[in-house]
Parts: sequence; structure tokens; C-alpha cells
Amino acid sequence: MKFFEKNSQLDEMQEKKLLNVESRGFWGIWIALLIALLVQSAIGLPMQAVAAEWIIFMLACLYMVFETLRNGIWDRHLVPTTGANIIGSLLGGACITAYLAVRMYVIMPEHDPWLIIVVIALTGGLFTAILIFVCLQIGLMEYRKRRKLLETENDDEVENKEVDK
Amino acid sequence: MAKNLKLKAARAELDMTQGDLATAVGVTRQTINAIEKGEYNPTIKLCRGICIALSKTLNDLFWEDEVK
Repeated sequence: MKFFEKNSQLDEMQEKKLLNVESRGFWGIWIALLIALLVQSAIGLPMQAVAAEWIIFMLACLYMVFETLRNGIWDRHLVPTTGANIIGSLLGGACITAYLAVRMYVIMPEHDPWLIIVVIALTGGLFTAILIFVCLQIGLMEYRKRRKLLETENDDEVENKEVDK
Repeated sequence: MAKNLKLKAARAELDMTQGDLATAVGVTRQTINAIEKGEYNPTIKLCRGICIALSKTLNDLFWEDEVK
């Protein structure tokens, strides 16, 4: 990394602009990949057909999660609270409910009555919401731990107090 | 962010173009232009470089007298 930093042809403003461009590029690809996966899945493509895209997508997600947590960052706009996690989980659950309903309607429009589609979609959505909530809460705990560590690391005042004890 | 007229004036005093100043501090002309127009907030490192190139202090170029 230091090699690239030392040999950068950009000044600080260009560097900042390039980071913005790269950030927009990353999120653009992330959203496009998510939409592609959802559409492919909704029309009933087998898992093998989308495995490569899915692996790339998950690796990108894992990278973002681990790197943000490692740096003690939660989100630019969302607050790290249980309340916000509940809202996020419910939104995620609602999205999955809609996705499952569409998917089942597209794949098996003649076989399943509406009631079964709704029940299965709601059940899937509910469990997804629970799963998202658990993941977010685990992430929140890790975030708080990491944040606390980073806030006290190399802190002269804290170190001096510990020496005094 | 407000325009940095002090920087522009200090550069003009030395009869330097934005390009000259950019070369002196090792950045692009567009960066100097953005700083003067108040579109970019430079790092303290670049501020110091500009001050040295223009023989001014940080207070002379980057301190705002009136707090809005």
C-alpha cells in the first residue's frame, strides 16, 4: 500500500475526487449486482447459474462489514442503536416478503393459491427480519467494543492513569 | 465555503499564476483554483506548503476574521 501511496501521481484534491469516483463505482456495481441476483433468482434460475455472482457479491459485503467494523465505523447516516436495527430488520423483512411473493407467483402461478403464497412470503419475511436483527445486533456489539478500544488506544491520559494504579 | 481572496491577493502580489503556485507546492492548478474559489478545503500540510511558497503565515491566508 505504501508503494502506491508514495508513487501516487495525484495531489490531495484529485485523490479525494478519485476516492469519491471509486466509491460511487463500487456502490453502483453493488446495487447492479444485487438487482441482477434478485431478478435471476425471481425468474427461477438455478443456484449454479448465479453462484459466481453470488460469491462476488457476498465477498464484497463481507469486506465492507469487516473493514468498517475494524475501523470503528457504523454508517454515514444510520445511528448505531437497537431501535434503528429493528427498523432496518423490518424493512429487510418486508423486502424479502415482497421478493418471495413475486418469485413464487412467477415460478408457480398456477399451482399455489394466493393464501399459500402470502403465508410462505410472510413467514420467509419474518424469519429474514429476525436473522437481520440478530446479525445487526452482533455487529452493533462488535462495533461498540471496537469503538471503545479505538477511543482509548494510544490515549496518553488513560495510559497515565493505568501507570498510576 | 467562502472564497479565499487573501490567497488570491497574496499570489498576485508575487505576480504568480495559479499554475506557478501549483508547481511550487506540487499540486495541480485545478486544486489551487478550487481552494481560491472555496470549493476545496485543503489539508494543513498543503496550507503550510502554500504559506511557504507565498512567504505568508497560516493566519495571513487561512484565518477568517469574522466568524459567521
